Amino acid sequence: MRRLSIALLAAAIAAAVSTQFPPYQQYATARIGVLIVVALGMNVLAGNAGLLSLASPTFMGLGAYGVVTSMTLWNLPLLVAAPAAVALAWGIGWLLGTISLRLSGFYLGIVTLGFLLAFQVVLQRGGKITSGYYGATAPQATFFNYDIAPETWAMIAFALAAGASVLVWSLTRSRIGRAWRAMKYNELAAEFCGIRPLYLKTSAFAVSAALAAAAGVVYAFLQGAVSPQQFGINNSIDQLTYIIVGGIGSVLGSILGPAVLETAPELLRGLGEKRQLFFAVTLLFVLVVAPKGLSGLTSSSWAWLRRRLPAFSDPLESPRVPRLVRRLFRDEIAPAAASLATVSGPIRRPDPRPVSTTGTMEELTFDHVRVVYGGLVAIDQLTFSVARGSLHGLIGPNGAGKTTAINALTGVARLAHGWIRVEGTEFQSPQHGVARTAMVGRGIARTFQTPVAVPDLSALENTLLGLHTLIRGGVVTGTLDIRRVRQDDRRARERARETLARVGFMGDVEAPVAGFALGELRKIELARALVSRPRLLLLDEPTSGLESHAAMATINGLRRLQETAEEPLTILLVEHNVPLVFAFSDRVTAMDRGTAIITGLPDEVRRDPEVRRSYLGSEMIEVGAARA
Amino acid sequence: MVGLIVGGLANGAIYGLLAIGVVLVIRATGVVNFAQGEFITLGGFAYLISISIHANPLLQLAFVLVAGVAAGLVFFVTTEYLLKGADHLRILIATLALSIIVINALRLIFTDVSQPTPPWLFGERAVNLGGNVVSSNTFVILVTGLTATAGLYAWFQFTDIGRAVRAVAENRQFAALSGINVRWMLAISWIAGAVFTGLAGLLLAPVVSVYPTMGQTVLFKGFVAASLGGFDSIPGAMLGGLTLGVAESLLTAQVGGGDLKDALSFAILLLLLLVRPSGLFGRRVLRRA
Repeated sequence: MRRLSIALLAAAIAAAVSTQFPPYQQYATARIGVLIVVALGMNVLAGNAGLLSLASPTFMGLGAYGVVTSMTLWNLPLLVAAPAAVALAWGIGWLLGTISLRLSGFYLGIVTLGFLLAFQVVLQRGGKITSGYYGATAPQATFFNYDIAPETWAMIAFALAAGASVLVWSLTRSRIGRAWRAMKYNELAAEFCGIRPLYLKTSAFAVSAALAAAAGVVYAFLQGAVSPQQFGINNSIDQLTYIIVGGIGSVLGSILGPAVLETAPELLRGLGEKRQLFFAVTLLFVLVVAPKGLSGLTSSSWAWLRRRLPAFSDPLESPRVPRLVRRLFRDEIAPAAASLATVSGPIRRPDPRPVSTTGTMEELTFDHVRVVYGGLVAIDQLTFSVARGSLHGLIGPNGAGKTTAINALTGVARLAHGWIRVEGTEFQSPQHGVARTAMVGRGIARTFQTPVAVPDLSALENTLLGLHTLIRGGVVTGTLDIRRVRQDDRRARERARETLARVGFMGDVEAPVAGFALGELRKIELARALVSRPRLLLLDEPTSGLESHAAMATINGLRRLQETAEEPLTILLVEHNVPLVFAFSDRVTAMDRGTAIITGLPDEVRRDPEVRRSYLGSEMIEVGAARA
Repeated sequence: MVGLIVGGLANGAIYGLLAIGVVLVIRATGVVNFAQGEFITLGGFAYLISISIHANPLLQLAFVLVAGVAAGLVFFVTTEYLLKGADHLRILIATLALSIIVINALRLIFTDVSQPTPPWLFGERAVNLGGNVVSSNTFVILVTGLTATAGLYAWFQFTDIGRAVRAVAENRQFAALSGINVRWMLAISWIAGAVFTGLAGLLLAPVVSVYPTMGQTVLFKGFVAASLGGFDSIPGAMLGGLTLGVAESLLTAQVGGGDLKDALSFAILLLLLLVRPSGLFGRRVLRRA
């Protein structure tokens, strides 16, 4: 509960600070505090999950009206009414999210617009419950016979803003926060980490709804009254402006946005009717000129300072280091050292291991598999087996169906006919399919032809994504950082570091991976796949784009991984670099036009006349044609 | 009853034109345009101005069309050039900002007062339809709406430029590789989207009169109509609009109270997403790309 204590401490300090303001400033800043909480919720949704909701004022209104109505009409005490109002918003958020997030992302925008309009209708026509057009007065709230004064509500608003900032910061760094960013960046890759996009998007929406409702509760008492006009479309635009101006996806931005935008009109008195125009023009201006908002400007000026101030700078970046030395180190020495670390041990051609032909030793079997895309038959009658613990190469010319085979196994492409068995039991067939999100749980991990590493997460966090299903911590427990979750997290981090070291990653594990070289990204991806200790690893062209010694080091590294693994690790390697496959694989399957030509020892496959004709032959013909 | 249905169809034709604009923009740019309603408003104001200078009906139409072309160009330039490289989320928020800017600029110039306009083409006339008196404007709305839809559909199906616009909507990269000027086609999509919705402004102005938020008020109806149509076809969007118009007209007559319309459209949208997310007239479910 360390983070909860930090949040409570921050809240207490903020509340204490608020008592030092004169009354009007206290009210005005408390209002900003409320808006910060709403902005934090919108930022969880927009910045982490990449979704837009227009209904943040509506959820705020649900909280405000919920608490006022239930206290006035049904005489509920504040301590029951407030959590109930927040829970109601959470529930409605969950419901609307489940309905609209199954579909394309823009439906959430449309549905939340409708919700906002429908809520206005309900407020206007709600009779006694909502008191219609002019709204209702907030009742006197008591806390165990003690009347809560307006100044106390200001303190509460301050405390809520400070506490929520710490908790949201904690949430975005938790397992759930990582999963949100992964899903926003690449949904398919996230699914292979066991991340369920619908569930996570819905939970992001529910979190933002609950935060807005909590803000609404405080807002009702701070204003002393609720009315429909406080929760309309214009408030929605205001709140969007806060997070854009502040900066999408940053807690600092959620604080800066409302603070700056609510203070500026106070200073520019007489803005009056033109307030909305001012907000909209500011919004568009910031979108065009500084898409990352104030927090983006803050971090880039910080980076600029770091470059200028010698105390912070990287010694290599100093102007006193000759450019040649810098280039030599950056481009030659560091990568060479990195690849040496991977090789670590002589590269040697392994002896083919004894591979049993009985079914029990087969890790993976393709049995007459057919996959059809529209009218195109991508693979047909594909049959081959992969022995447990082996390195199995899958080669073939472009369009042979290698990637489709992996897609069929991992639930990306549906089987039209045939069976895929893992350890002898049916895994994929036209009738029965294992979902992508279940792959990690079944001990299967894969990489992609173009490596997928979330740019704003560090190498360590990217690797941790692979452990998503194996560590605990939901929205609440992850935020509060309770001991069980913290222990899981510490162990997971250790394992991720270990795995990154095993694949020879040499960079800074804590730095965001944006801008890393291809070779490093591939290592991160391999680490993410390996960290869950899969029994079957599927690699889609892990060496493409790498220079020859790095490619060799990669494949040699795979062999070492198998040798050092505690449990047998089977690797299915789709690869264009045929000499490498022949040099390092236990068995090779050659594919052409959607089917397997031969499966056997590398030498058998190399000598096979059909393979030569269809694959190696065509290459020679191309070379010949190029010469002619 | 006949009066209710005919009135509903007329409202529906306006929602349909709005929905067509929404679909054109979303297919070309992948973004829901939250300022689509402002194309109605701009069309309405262009019509108002043309009437104040006593232009003839043809010139009135020309005013509205030119306003649509200009508005479409502004949006095209903003999203394609000013916001170059921005993600969908930011472009979507930019359309919201543009919507508020247009509304408030009109407020500053024309104030919030509603300005009544006479119906286009035939003026104020009543038609007797088997005992039900229906305004002639209702028929102008229906005929204009359906003709425009049919024309746009034919243009998409049978002309080279129409096909090129569709190709760009399907796959930008492939379209570019086949020598299609993608930029131009996007500009055309924006302009067509603005012009057809602007036309709805000309038709709606005599019904609700002209004021700065006249388009914002119906925007959500356009979204629901487009959802009913499945977000992927022009005739589907018009059919979605007509369905919504009739349903709204019949249901509000049952319950009473025009202010319930928004809540009703929301209920229809939720029901649709639950039961048939691909739309009543759509073929495939749009999923997150």
